[in-house]
Amino acid sequence: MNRLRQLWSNPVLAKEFQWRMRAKKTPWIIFFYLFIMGGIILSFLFLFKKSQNWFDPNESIYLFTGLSLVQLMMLAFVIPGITAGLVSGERERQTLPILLTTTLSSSKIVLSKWVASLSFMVLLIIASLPLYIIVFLFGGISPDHVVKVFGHFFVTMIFLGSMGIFFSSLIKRTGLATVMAYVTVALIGIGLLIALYLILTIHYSLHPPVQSPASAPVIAEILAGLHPGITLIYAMYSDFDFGGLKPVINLYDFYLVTYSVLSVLLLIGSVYFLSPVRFKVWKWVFRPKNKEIKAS
Amino acid sequence: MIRTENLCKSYGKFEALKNLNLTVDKGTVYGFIGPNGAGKSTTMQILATLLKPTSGRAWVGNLDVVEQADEVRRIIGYMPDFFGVYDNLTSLEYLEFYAACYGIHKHLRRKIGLELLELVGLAEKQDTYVDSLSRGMKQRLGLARTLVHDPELLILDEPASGLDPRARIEFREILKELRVMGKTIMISSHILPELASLCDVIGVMDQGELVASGSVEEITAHARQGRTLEIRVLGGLEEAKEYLETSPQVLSVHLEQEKILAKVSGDESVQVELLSGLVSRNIPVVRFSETSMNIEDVFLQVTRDSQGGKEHESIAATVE
Repeated sequence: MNRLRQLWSNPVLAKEFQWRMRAKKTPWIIFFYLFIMGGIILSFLFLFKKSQNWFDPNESIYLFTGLSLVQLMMLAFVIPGITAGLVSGERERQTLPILLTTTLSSSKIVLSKWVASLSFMVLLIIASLPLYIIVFLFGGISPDHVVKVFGHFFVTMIFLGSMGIFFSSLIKRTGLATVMAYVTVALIGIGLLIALYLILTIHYSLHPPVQSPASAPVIAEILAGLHPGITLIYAMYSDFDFGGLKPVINLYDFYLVTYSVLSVLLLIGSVYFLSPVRFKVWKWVFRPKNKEIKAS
Repeated sequence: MIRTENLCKSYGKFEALKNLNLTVDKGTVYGFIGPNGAGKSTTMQILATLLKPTSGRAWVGNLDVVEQADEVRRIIGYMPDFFGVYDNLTSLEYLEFYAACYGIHKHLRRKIGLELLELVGLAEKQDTYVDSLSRGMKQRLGLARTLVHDPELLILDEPASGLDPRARIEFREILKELRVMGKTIMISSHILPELASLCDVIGVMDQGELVASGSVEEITAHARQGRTLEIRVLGGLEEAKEYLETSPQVLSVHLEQEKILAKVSGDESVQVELLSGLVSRNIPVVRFSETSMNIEDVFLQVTRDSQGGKEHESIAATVE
């Protein structure tokens, strides 16, 4: 708790908040985020209601999943753009050396910048809640669904933020770091889907499904478990399968665990590449032990 | 305050620093001079805990810059040769931000910020956004920034580069004030006169090596091996040149427009001898004086001498 309070009073974090809220582009980002999200969901609802006069609550889960997928795509678009310049931007502005000669540790700099950008994303999600309420109005969505979707968002945000800051720390130029972050997002979002499609097609041609509850190849399940969209749909629909093949792994849990671990590794990597004296990262990891030795 | 022991830093095959041994006492103003790429910035970055030396060790206030980097950061204020400022922050907020980075208590930050702005003459600019300040003002603000945690040692890398003469003088005045306050200051420059009046000790670096070190007078004396005489005659230029060339004390002679520049060894009696020799040959001498070596000549000489005999000759040949 004390550490949390320390992080909260961290000057870099305070400055990032101040800067974010003073920047003229911030209200525009929020505006366009809500405009695109709202535009999609409201026009969808409008067309949906026009074709039929009644609304089936079972179909609102469909709408809810759609809205969440749109939200997921928006996160994938916005977060790399925000985070890929966090460290390299300081480097390019030539403010990083000064920051590194202060008593702030590299890990504190990385973490506070990361928390600051994630806070902004949380703000965007909170700002989009009224859109969700429109869907809730029609009923049919359980609290379980909501918890699962927001858990998914949370982990995805953490991962995307860590990845952005990792490239920002690794690559000196913001431009290249941003491109790398988006390429990674594209690989995860589209590349995984293509790979999964190819694997399933090959699998089907080699082993035509004889009985209906056959299992998919493990590699296909792993790829599916790494894909944000598929895991989100999996979490919403209990009868999820790949065209007849039931997954054995709990894709949703697999996703959360894998990406949480990856995020931690990426953050450690960011600190490592930011530290002027590289091997210091080990001191950082083993700091508690060092203190004990000193105390004794 | 600062001590280095066989400090080396290489980037791939390029050796930026070669066995640097340096000592700076507490309370002195140490001027670091050398051409661009001599290794001044590299040394300063190592001392500021931003670079890890390839080999050798360095201490700041008896703290190892690699092993005890955190403690070292607490006692140094570092100003890089180029530094940026954050937009969307005012001068006072800028200082408050860095004060916070050093863990200074919230209630003290504003007070310290205002005091420092006063010190560097930016008190009336406290609410101006940093990116709208002029370069000279930014530089002074940068200096104020290095002082927020009241460090014992200031490491200033080319603080006066790109400043107009007025801003440079203002900057120097502030440094003088800091010297009075008892700070140890390490300052680098490739412009020597800028430092001559300010520094107690000067170190001249060239190609990663410390080629001379000492007070300004010591270095000037060291560089002045032999003196240069400037002789102007109204006629008999060739005759005078011939005479000088045959004289054993004269090391070299060359003509520059209407003047003869002769490099001689020995003390003042040699000058008397040469002058009477010229006069006795009825050469109309109108001017016979020793050229005073200014600090820039010293710099050129010291850095040139370090480039080895062969190169020295080739440079001398191109000069002559």
